[in-house]
Amino acid sequence: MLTIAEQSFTSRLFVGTGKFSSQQQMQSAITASGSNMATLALRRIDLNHREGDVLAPLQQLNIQLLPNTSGARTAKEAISAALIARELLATNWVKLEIHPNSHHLLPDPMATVSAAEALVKLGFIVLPYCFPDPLLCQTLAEVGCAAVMPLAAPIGSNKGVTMPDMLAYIIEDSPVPVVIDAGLGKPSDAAIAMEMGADAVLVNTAIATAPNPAAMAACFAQAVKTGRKTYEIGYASQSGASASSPLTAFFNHA
Amino acid sequence: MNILCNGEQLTVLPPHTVASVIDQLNLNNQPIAVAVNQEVIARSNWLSHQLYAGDTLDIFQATLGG
Repeated sequence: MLTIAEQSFTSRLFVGTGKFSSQQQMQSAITASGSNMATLALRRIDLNHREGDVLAPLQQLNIQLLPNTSGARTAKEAISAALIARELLATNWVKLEIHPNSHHLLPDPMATVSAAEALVKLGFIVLPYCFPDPLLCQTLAEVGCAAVMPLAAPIGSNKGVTMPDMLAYIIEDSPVPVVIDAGLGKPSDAAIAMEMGADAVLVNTAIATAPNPAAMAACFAQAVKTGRKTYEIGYASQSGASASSPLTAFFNHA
Repeated sequence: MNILCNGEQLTVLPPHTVASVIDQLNLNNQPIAVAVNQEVIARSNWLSHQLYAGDTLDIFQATLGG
């Protein structure tokens, strides 16, 4: 079973709560995903156009909530966001994400390491969203992150596992769980990540923007299970062509 | 007196505490978090935390996101 910071998770699929067209769709998709953990974000209240409470429906689902620091462009802003999230949600878990560039939304590695180090010292369980750089992931583990969350592809891009070789190094060497986050567009992408030995995946856009989010969440759940099982069994290695039926003389090619 | 609340000027009524402003904004018992001058103020300190003219008060809520 997956364990992060001494907490066990029965599902290796984590989900994001953004981009759903309705709260009801989000709830049914999360339920169908079987996930034990869902991310959410923070915002300053618009005093003139107040948004309804999004927390109550999520709390009804009885899953762990993982606040993110989305919107933070610097380490300082991310630390503030984490402190606000801790006060708001009474959790010391945080998905650390610092992406200052709206063009590609790639995470700032230096700011992420610096914020991670500070947040660990403040008692946070830090899950950093990061570039699939093996040395960066190693550094994030060394400063005390409870897991690393390298991206498969840019956020919301649905491009799948674009740097499998880099993820393979990370998975092989990481002393902490590896959660592949961002860019997984199809259940097969999630299966690829899990077959490689990832400990979990986090999916948002591919479920939330699917024509039927709940059905797609169930497909992702299945793919994650199958991918994990495949990894645990160990799959046959690749080689040149090798007949899988006997090549005996059946026809007489005279 | 005036403070800057979520980026907008807000005239607040006495006793000028975090709790009184939250009350004035009808946000009692809402799942929110508050920072004064970029420092998070625990809910248990809202009653005692005094505000001064020109302070920045930011009020946050959870929202959906990935």
